[in-house]
Amino acid sequence: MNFKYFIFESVSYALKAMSVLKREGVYARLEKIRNISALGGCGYALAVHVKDANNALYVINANKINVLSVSDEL
Amino acid sequence: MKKLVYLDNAATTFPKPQGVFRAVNDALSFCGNPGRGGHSLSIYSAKKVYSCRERICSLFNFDCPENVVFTYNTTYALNMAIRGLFCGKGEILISNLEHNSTLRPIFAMQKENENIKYKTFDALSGNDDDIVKSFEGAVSEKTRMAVVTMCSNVTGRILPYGRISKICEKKNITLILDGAQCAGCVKIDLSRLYFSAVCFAGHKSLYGITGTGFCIFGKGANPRDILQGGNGVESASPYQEGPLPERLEVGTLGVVGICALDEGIRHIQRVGEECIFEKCSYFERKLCDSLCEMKNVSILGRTEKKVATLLFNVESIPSERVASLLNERGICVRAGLHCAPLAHSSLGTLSTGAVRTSISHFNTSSDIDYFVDSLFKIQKT
Repeated sequence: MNFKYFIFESVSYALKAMSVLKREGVYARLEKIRNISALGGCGYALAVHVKDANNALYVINANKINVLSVSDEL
Repeated sequence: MKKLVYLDNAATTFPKPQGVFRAVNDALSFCGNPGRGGHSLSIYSAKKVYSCRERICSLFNFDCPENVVFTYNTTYALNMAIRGLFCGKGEILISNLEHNSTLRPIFAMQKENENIKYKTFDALSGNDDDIVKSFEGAVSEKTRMAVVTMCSNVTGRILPYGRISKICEKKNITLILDGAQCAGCVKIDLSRLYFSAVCFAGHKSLYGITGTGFCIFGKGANPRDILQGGNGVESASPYQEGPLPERLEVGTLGVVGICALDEGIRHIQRVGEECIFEKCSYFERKLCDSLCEMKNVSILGRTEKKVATLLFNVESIPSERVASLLNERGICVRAGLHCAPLAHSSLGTLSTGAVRTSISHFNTSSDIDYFVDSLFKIQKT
């Protein structure tokens, strides 16, 4: 349970978030997920280490990127 | 080996930068289907596609990569924008320099719905002030949309699209710009423009490969989808909803072309648009000066504010025949109507067509000299 998973509307938004996180020095890994309740099907999430999760959420929100949900596991 | 002089860059640029070849090879070697799978090749591919969206934004000074929608050419992008953004009734304003990729979707929409009308404004004659006046004069309270080329594919004229954009903003008109002919050779700053969509080709002066284009939607634009299918978003839903760009990018993206486009734009950013414009304009002026000295050659529709496209005819020789005679000497140009019948109608060349030369920054001074020498011989016979 070392990661938090940020679920996005689309792969483009996940990659946009990944790009802004990279600029802020936060490492994130792109993962394919299947989450009917949050996504209505398949989608993508960013796995961020728990120690960076709060900062990551702040950066993502500051860049006005919509996060559908944050989960402890996929 | 026979000399090859390629002067049909307005159709598609040739040759491509060496980096584009490497990008194609890399894409074929490492890219899977982007935005679909979770395996390494799919993820790599998705990152490449997104990186190209960011690069496009950096070229045009725009900060919404998610508003960059990939298509297969400008025609597809224009269809997507025109059909996706038009409200269903009222007038659409177009210039008399528009390409069939703008005219035909509008004519087809008009055929389907008699409440849709179109009106043209003159963008061929006069200076920028005259064009703006002509545009303003054509706007009425019924005008809902304007579709305007930023640069003519026939004459190379650059339209005052910034001023047209301001009028559209003031009058709340949906503005779609066709940037096929000027991206990469004219500096375009989208952060200073009001627009609903701008449509581009990837394979022309952005030096990508054929089968690539894209549309950049303005902030707040909410286009309807004109095609439906799989896009990797909300897969359980029977309906295609969700955000841009995926909502409009149905089916597998042309990832090889997108990687090539990314490299083509990198090439432009390395060389600089101003440098490309200066070099091409210098050759165009050199070409024009030489053609002016040939008594049987008439230059058509030339203006000062233009890209390096030059239109001409040779007296008593049909335009297609001139192109064919040039081709026998290894010179590639495009004759005919260039898919822009209104422009040729306004120029008085609808029945004859004309010969178009279009220069890229890969052309050399000796290309121009060889072309001039060849045309001199052709027009003398």
